[in-house]
Amino acid sequence: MIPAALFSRFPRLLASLVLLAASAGIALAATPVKVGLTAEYSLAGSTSAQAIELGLKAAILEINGRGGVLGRPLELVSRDNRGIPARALVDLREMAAMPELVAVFGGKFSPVMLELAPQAAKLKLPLLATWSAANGITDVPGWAPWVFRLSLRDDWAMRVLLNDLRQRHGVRRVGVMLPNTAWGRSCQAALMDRERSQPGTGDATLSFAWYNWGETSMLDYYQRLLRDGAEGLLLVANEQEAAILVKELAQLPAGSRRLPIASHWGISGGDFVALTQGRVLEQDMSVVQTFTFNDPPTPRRRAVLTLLRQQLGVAEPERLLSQVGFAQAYDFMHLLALAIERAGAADRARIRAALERLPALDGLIRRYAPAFTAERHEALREADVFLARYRPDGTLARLPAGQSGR
Amino acid sequence: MARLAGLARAWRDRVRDWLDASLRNRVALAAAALSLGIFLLTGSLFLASTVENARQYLRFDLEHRAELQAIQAEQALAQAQAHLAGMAANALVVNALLDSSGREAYLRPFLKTIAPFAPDGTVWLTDYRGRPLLGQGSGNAAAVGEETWFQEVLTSQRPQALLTPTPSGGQRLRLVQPVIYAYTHTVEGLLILDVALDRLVTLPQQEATYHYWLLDAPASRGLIQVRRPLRLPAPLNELGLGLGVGIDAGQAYRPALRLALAFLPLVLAVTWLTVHLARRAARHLTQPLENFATLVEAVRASGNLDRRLPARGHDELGRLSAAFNDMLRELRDDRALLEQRVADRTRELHQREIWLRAILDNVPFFFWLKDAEGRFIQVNEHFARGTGHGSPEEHIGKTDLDVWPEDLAWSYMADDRAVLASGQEKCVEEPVQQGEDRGWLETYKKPLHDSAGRVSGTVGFARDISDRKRAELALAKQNARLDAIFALSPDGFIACDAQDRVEYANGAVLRTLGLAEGELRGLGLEALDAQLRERCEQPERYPGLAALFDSDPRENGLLLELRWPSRAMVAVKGVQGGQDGPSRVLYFRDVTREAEVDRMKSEFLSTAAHELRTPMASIYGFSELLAEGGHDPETVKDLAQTIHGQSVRMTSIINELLDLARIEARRGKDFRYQPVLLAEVVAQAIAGVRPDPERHPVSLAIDSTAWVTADPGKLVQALVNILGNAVKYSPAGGGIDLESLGPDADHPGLLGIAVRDRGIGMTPEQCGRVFDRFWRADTSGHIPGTGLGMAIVKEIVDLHGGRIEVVSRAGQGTTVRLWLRRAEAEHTTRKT
Repeated sequence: MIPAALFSRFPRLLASLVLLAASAGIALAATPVKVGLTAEYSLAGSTSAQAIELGLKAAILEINGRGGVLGRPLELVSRDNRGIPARALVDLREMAAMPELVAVFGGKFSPVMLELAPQAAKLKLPLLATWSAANGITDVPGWAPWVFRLSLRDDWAMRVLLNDLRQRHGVRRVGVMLPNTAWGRSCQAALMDRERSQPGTGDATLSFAWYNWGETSMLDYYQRLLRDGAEGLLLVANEQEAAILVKELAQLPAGSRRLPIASHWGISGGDFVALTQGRVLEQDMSVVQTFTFNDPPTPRRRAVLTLLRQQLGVAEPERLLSQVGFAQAYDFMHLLALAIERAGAADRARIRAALERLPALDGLIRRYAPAFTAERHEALREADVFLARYRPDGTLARLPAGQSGR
Repeated sequence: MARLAGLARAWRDRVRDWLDASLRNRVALAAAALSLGIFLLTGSLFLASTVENARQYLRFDLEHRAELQAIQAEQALAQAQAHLAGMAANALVVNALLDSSGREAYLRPFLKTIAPFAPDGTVWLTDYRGRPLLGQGSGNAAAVGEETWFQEVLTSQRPQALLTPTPSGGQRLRLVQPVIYAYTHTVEGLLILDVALDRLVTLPQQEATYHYWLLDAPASRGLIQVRRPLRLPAPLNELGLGLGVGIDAGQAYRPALRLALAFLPLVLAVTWLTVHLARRAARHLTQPLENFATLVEAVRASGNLDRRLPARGHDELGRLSAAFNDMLRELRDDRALLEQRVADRTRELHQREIWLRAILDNVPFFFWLKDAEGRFIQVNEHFARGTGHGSPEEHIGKTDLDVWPEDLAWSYMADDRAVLASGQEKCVEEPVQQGEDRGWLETYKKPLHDSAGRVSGTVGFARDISDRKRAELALAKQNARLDAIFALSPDGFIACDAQDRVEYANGAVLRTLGLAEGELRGLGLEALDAQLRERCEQPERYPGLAALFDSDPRENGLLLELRWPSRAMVAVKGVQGGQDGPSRVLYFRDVTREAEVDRMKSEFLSTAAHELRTPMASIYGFSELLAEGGHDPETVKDLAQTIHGQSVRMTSIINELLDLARIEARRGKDFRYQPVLLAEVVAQAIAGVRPDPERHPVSLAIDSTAWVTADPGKLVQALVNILGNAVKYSPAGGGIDLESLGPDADHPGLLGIAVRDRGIGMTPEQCGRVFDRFWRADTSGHIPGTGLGMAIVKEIVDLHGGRIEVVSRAGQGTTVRLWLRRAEAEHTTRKT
């Protein structure tokens, strides 16, 4: 397993390594084509930004090894937005001002991406969502042409999680714990839609508890849901708040009622096993994911693992944290490179158009045939979403199909 | 103004007159002033203590009010600050930072919770760049990113409190609370509260009596105030807030002022009463004194000492009357006695004056007394005769300017002023005109003191010292003459005083002994002996100076051979002085030159005799052989030729000796100097020597216009000697070059001629002796000569004022250069 500290300590070292390696293969006399990344690097306990960056760099290494795009090397420009929308906006404007920069990748936080999307459309800069799940990111017509996503959507996640609780645990009334942000509201809307569309169910089957970002205790909300008669907990949270809840549940007296938990994937943005001091392993907790190296290997995965091990110095790539971030960013970078080549110039508008007319591509997660169309800016499908459980080594493993809620 | 001042002066004078008019007035005034002063002092003390008590009470009252209000203000401020801090720490606020689309719904109600703690305040949330995100309240949520404190809050993460004045004169309090994002521990936003300070802290209504304030006291004069600093948590404590309470001084001290006003009529009444009583008491006390004064005035006016005061009881005034009557009696008796005594003393004084006048008029000095203005008070008869301005009495009241010529008078007055200013006596010798002649006076002046010791004038006397001065001048002139003579003398003189110490030494002695005058002066005879002994060539044979004075003065004398400072022969003689002059005089004469001449003479005589004896011995021997006879004619001829040859040589020696002697004896007096054409002289010399053109070809390079000043005969003789040497000392033959030389830097004004042979030449040592008499470069005897030729050349050239140089190297020939004065242009042109 790669210590989380490695991510926070070496991202710029890795970037320089990537460039060094790339320079051996291609003529670097040409001006690099730049891609941006604004993500939540410096959040304590978070590894999501680092995983996304690693994914982008691994792909750039391969692309530059093949001669780059348009005969020019690719170069990554990254900024830390601490998960704060105001900071991300400043990053976006700064990157938009860079003439050679063609697109900006976002991090894990939906509120940040929701803040960036209209701005990106205004700046006519392709914004690429690698992890953020809020439906609104790609749904709003005003900015949708400039935003592309290679990630799951909240409505997919909610459906899978609800199914898991209902079918695997037989839960009738679901307690939902939501952050008091756009992400939380996106999930709530998805749930409401889902319940309304299910005959015989309705709003009464759901009970909501809203918590704030940065809470120091989550037990109140849990108990409020218990009082409301919740039989299972649908958790929408990031690793920090979720870890607080898991540790607090573990400290409840023996015999206290413990609800099965189905969690959105925000918690996989850090070393959750370590954050909960292993208590998550004692819980009945499933998490939605789109990728894990614990799945049976394919040639592509093997090649990437080798690249990570040999060229990026990752000792145990199979134990990489936040693997969804890595895989989605990796695939997305390849798609973008293809789009640049198709556009024939480092021109943002032409690249945006090219993204909608990509040829088929085999990625780590799936075969994209094609990834996007003018009508659809989602590269993944609901079928790519699966449930997973934490393993003691900190990685997630797919639940057996029988245990899956789908 | 001036009129007012005049009026004031008139009143002052009137009061002074009133006071001076009567003792009664003064006593009355003093008594009234004393009692009034005491009354005012006690009254003032009473007033002061009343005011102080009022002040103490006021202070206590103000402090109490300030404390009460300060506690309320502290509470209000701290509560607002604490509530704002609590809000900033609430997760809801952090959440709102991430939730731009939904925060309005929950943040606004949350922000409203500050309202009870900050009436009419505005509270708003900003992002990490200070831009407002959401605000609540009556005012505008402002961007604060440009504020000076902004960056400091971001980095320090500490809250801020600021006060800003409003246009209406109030103050607004702004509290800034950083919102810290727990996952990054960074400030990602600010929660800001802006509220009017007077709404946050309500002070009591401004009553008529008391004023309250939080920052600065109201700008009102005469406010008695107390300030109690507010004890507040950070950052409010940095604002320097304090609760002030004040009260108008006029209001505070009004009771005391009333008391003081009531005191004023009391003062006036007491003053009137005191003055009235004091006048009555004074009249009673001073009545007998007035009677007494009337009698004294009457006695003084009439001079009648027989009047008496009436008898009066036995109190102090009665005793005073009796004593005054006794005193009048005694005064009457004493006056009669004194009048008799004054008459006696006046007679005595008149007699003394006559005697003093006789003394002064008969001393041979000028005598005078002057007052401080330089006017004569007294002069004697001698003085009056000296000035020629009548009797001594006629001088009284006159000044020096009235009796002396103006230049003398000014000088005398300057002396007087100096004596008056310094208070010191002064003695001067000054020239005076005595008819046709100039004379001198010795004047002695001294300050004249009055009975109080002050300088009131000058006293002086003068005597005629003309004869003495003339003798001194003659002596000084004589001394100067002698000094000049001795200083210029080549011979040395040392004069000793009565203690046989060196008193005088002239320059020649000092040069001879290599001493400075200071080193020699004061030396005793023994020390002088030591100096001389250490300079002698043979110190052990130095006999000492005492020997000079033992024997007959005509025979005495020492001859010293000095080794240093320069080698010299010095003859020393001594003279025993008379009673009035120096005790001993030593005379030093440098005889080095004479001794050298003596030595040279002896040496020359011995050499000349030796040189003459050689040919003489030959002549003697061969002539004796010839006289024996019996020789064949050939032998006889040989012998006679030898004798003849030696005779010729002897003759030539003698001739040359005579030449040399003549030249030396005459020292060139028989030389007939005239412009001479150098080429002519050279031609005559060559004709005289006639060198063999085969063996000694002569080459000439003579400037045909070169004229020199010389005796032509002597110059030809000198050149013949040089040319002769050139021929003789080139036994193997060789050319002889003659060349004229122009003047050069080493020989300014001289023209030269160089004679160069290619003969045997000389070593440098030989070169050094070439001008010695009888010295010859040839020691083999094969080259004839007397050894006098070059000595003659040198004498001739030296007497011509020229120079001769010989340059030679053994085996390579010799060059002789003669340098002679160039003839003046006018001569040469005339001649040519």
